[in-house]
Amino acid sequence: MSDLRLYSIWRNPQQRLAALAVLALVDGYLGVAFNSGLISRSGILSGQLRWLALSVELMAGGIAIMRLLVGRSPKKWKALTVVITPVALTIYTLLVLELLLSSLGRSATMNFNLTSLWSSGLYWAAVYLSVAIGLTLTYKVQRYANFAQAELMLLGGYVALLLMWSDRFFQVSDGPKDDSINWSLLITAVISAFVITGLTGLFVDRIVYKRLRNKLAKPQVMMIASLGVAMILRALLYMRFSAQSFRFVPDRDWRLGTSKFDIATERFQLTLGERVSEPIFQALETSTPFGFTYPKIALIVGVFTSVVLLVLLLHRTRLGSQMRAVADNPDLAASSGIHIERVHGITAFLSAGITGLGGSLLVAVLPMNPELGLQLLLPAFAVIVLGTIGSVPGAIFGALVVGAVRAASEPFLIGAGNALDRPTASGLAEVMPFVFLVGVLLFIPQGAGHAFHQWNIRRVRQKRSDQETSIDNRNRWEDFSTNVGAKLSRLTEQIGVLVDSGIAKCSEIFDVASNRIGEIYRSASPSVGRLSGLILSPIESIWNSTKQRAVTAFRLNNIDRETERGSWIAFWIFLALLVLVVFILPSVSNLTKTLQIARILTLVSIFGLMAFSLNLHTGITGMTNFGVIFFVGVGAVTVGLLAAPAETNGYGWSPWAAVLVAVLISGAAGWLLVAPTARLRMDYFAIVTISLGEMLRIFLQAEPLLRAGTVTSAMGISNYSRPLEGWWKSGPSETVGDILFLGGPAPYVALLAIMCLVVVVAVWYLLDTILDSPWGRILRSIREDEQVSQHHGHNILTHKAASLALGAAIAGLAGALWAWLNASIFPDFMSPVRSTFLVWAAFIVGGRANNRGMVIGAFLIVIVDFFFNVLVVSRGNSSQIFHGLVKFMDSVFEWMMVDLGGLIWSSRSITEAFPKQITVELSHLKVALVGAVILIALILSAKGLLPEIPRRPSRPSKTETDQSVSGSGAS
Amino acid sequence: MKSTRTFTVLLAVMVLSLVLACSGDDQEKDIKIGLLSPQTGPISQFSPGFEAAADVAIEELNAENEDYTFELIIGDSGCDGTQAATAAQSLIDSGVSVIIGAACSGATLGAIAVAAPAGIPMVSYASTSPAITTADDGGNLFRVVPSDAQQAVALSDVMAGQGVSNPAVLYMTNEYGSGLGDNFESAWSGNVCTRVGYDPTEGSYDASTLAQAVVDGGCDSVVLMSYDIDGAAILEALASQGFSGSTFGADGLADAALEESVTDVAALNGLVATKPRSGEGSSVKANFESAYAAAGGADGAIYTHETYDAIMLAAAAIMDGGDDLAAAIKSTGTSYVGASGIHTFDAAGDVLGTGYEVCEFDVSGSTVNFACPQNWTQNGGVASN
Repeated sequence: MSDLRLYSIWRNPQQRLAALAVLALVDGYLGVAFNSGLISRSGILSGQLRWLALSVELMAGGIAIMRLLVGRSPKKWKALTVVITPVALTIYTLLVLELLLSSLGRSATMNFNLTSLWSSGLYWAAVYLSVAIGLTLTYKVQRYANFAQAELMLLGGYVALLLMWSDRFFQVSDGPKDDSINWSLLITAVISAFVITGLTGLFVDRIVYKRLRNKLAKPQVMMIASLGVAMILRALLYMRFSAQSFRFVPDRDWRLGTSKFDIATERFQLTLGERVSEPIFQALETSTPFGFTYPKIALIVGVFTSVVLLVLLLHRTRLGSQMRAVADNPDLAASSGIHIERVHGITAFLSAGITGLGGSLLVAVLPMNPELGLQLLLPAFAVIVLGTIGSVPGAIFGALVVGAVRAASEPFLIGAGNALDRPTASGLAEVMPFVFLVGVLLFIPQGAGHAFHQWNIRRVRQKRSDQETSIDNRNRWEDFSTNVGAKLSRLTEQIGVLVDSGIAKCSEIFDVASNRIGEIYRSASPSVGRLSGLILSPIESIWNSTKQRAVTAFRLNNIDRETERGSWIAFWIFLALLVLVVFILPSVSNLTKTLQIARILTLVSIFGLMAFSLNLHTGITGMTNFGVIFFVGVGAVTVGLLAAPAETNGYGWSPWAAVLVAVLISGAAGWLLVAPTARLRMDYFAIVTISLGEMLRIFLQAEPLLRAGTVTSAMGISNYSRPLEGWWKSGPSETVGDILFLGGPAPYVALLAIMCLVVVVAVWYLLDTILDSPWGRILRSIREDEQVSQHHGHNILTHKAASLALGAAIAGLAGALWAWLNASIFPDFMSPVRSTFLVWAAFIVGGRANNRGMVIGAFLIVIVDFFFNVLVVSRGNSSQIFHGLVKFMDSVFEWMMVDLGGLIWSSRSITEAFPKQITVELSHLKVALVGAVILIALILSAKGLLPEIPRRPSRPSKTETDQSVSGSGAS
Repeated sequence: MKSTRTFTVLLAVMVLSLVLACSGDDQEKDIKIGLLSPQTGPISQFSPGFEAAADVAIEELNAENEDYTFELIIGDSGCDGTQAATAAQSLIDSGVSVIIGAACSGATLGAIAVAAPAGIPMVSYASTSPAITTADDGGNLFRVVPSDAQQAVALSDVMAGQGVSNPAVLYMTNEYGSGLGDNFESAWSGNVCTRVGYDPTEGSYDASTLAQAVVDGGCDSVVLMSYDIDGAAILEALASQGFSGSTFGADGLADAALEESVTDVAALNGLVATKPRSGEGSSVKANFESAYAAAGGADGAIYTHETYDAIMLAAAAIMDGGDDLAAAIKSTGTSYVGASGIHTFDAAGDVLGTGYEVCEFDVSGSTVNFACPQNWTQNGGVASN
């Protein structure tokens, strides 16, 4: 009987989860408080690892139970749970911390300074919001995630700097202290930043996104195009303003130690763990007021004002309704006479302009260099997801919450970090927005904006039903309450009238303003168009004629890239071209050429594996994965840690065992990811995965347990053993070196390259075999239509989990190879710019859902890097062909900077960036060219170089030939 | 149609010339020196300083040695192992004799994995990680930045001498900051008020929150393991929050040019900072600094002296001749008097410091006095010059 009951509990997933969670809680508590229970007594883990495992156990158990409670709570409490859950989770975390610290015999002191907290929260909110508002507006109307948004913010900052350096305003900025603030520079800068950045956004929209829109490109393609735009913009900013950082000083008196408002504050102290005499929570006497500096106030006021104006514009003007109409249904909007392209243009202008305005104010707070944008882009994504993508009020709400979380987490992290010997923990404040976001999405999968919307609907319904019922059963209390209610409603009515008239005035002004914008736009649009035409028409004519020829060549030979045969032929052609480039890359000796080729092959294999993984997740199963680097990082870190010597904080495993475990752990991470993310919309899934990557990167910086290989356990993982390295160096390297005439032993990377190639071919074969199986068809059907697939009896969750796990395992393998190539793992290797985004470019350019395309895409990305590096090193290398070209480029650049640009900017702005001489920074030119390659490839063929081959059920008579084709394809 | 043909011809010329370039012979005394500079990535703001310092060195070498022509080839390390290794490969493919760099330790370790098999030595100017000491480099990897351990002892001695009892430690969560911070904590015998780590990339930390943590913790002083720009921001924020305790710093903060990184110089008053000591009676340091200023080198730069030293030392080793350049670098680097101190390589290619200067900012009104009246040595502790 009891067996039966246990079995039935086990069969019910919710009860199973509850049982496991309770078990985890009990075991964790026993472990922490009494040093017994499974984890404590098993003896597998010791020292810090045991404490870590126990806290993870407790946290996981608590979160699972809370999630079950939220899931089972009555519908009308939903809105309440949204508010209560974060608070409850925080309290629970503190409880676990208290338990942990008491049993360790330590104490953590956390100091809270109220004014500091809310001002810092507002500051972060404003910083993130200035990028997030543009992102969300673009997403709302144009439906893609704009990666270039952060670069537009930088542009606004540099406009302010240019004005500061201008002859007219330099006196204002550089003037002596005179105790009075001159506002002229600041105001001019803010307005110019808005207009110039806005026009830039409009220009980019016309020459890039409009083309893609006309081709009905997918949002993913638009997104990767914006990545290309971001690379080009950032590179141009680097080339113009150099890599130095500059600060905008609107007036000397603006940034003095005394330029602040002193605001009274309250201080509180929370003491956890062993308390001698202090209470757990106490108010401290307040010593000094908090100094809120002018630049921060200007940033907060400026950003929030412009965002509120935007909300009014969207909701109170004709232009706003038009924008919302286009957002909701472009076709319907067009049929009712709205000029769609005009609305797109105005959206591009506004979303860029507001971000630029934020940038001009931010550069007065922080010193700015072109790298700053990337720091703000990912948190801005977290903000818009939290507030529901595409909702402007949601973005404001999201920014405020994320800012508050960011500010409030710092005292907790400082206190806990000091107590647990992890002072670096305060660095984790940077990822708290992501942690919070992932936590929230566990409970409300559609974001806060959606939850609010639902709550609002329910409230209105409730009100209506209340009105209906209230007529029937009145009593005295209700009489009384209706009396009060009537008075209240009269009061609110009066307020409402006041507000309405105010808003009517505002919207009048807005209508006038938006008409003006429309006029400016109408008059500017043809000239912008002409300008872009002037620049693009020669490129386009060359392009079209080459394309024509390529197309005819393909036609003549009867190659259709969307057939199995044509795809293979195109693959071999592209591969041959790329291999040709590898061979003409210059080098000096046999040895260095061997090193070069081996490095290229290894990198192509690593990026190819990452692209396979992405293709399986995104191309085949339809889950937009932006966390490739997360799985790669898990693989690399596991391999490094396990294979590092035991005496230096590692575990001393053999590299083979380490790679096996690394692949399993990455796969398991993929499998586990499905449970919390299965209900997420795809773009939310993307943000969760990208957040995971960032979290791992910051944890690598902060967590001592993730350091190995040096006696002092300094940051990073190094000195781990690599497969066959000892064997290779004991003899075979000499033999191979002799065979290849290297004049010495062959380098280890040559062996690694061969191993990599074997791995890639094996994985490719395996994947193609799997994807040709019925399971591959199920995955594609999930991509096409989840509901239909479910209707046919497939368990979506299991299939998605399996796809995630397989892809993650492949990415983990890529991580292991990467760790062996670099011979060390430092947190910076996980930067998404150098990994995830590049793999995405390879995926889109190569051709979605076609593994051949993945190989070509990865090869292209790697080879473009090497090819343009030849250009980068050509400045100093007089024996190289481009050397003379560089001199010419320098003179052209100088002409553009001084003679052409001099019409716009002052000579001071040039000498600030180029104190000695004006030269082209070739490494940034390279980045611009890589961006251009991505853009051109997308505009050329939005489906990628090797598009997916449409699969139809083959007719019985054709089965044999089909099999032979796919068989040869896989081998 | 015509434009297409021109384009094709151009492309053909480019490809051909590339092929020709591979077979081009080098001039005998034409020496190429590669520099890995973090032109992109998290510390790109410091790359103009490194490159300006390298230019100063190359100009000086070319002016002083008529028999040789030195060329500087710069690659972008990107502060990342993969990118740096690819850049190192490109440098090696263009025929450099030695690679100077990289700055970030991860980049240096990635690049040496390419350079060591090719037999090209590397001299890093800014990598402070202990992992550099133990790297598998076949004796090809050197660095002219001393270990953090000694400077941490120097700092703690200086602070103890000033009667500090309860300092806050603010440090960057990169290998330099956390290394110096960890070493300081083991050297400091007294109480530590609070320890706070932060990511120095702009846009990822808030200086006033850090300052507030110091003020709220009731700390009597603060020591910054920071670069110049973030350190200046924190000092300004401390001033805004009315912090009156003493302030300490190291390296990047021990420089008169710190004045350029703050708007309100009053924030610097009383800052005491240590930096590696240059050679007794040597004019190398002063000469470099004036040349660097004359060349318009960037303000707020870090490790410029080390960059200069690395190039000069490597060039001297190349000119000494011999087939084994790594051995030549090792022997040249014996009591080598450089701009950043006196360098002697140990067996692992690391340098041991020769003590530190103790410098102080004294601000009255808008005039800033920067002087280094004391020094610290391992045996003698803190002493007046």
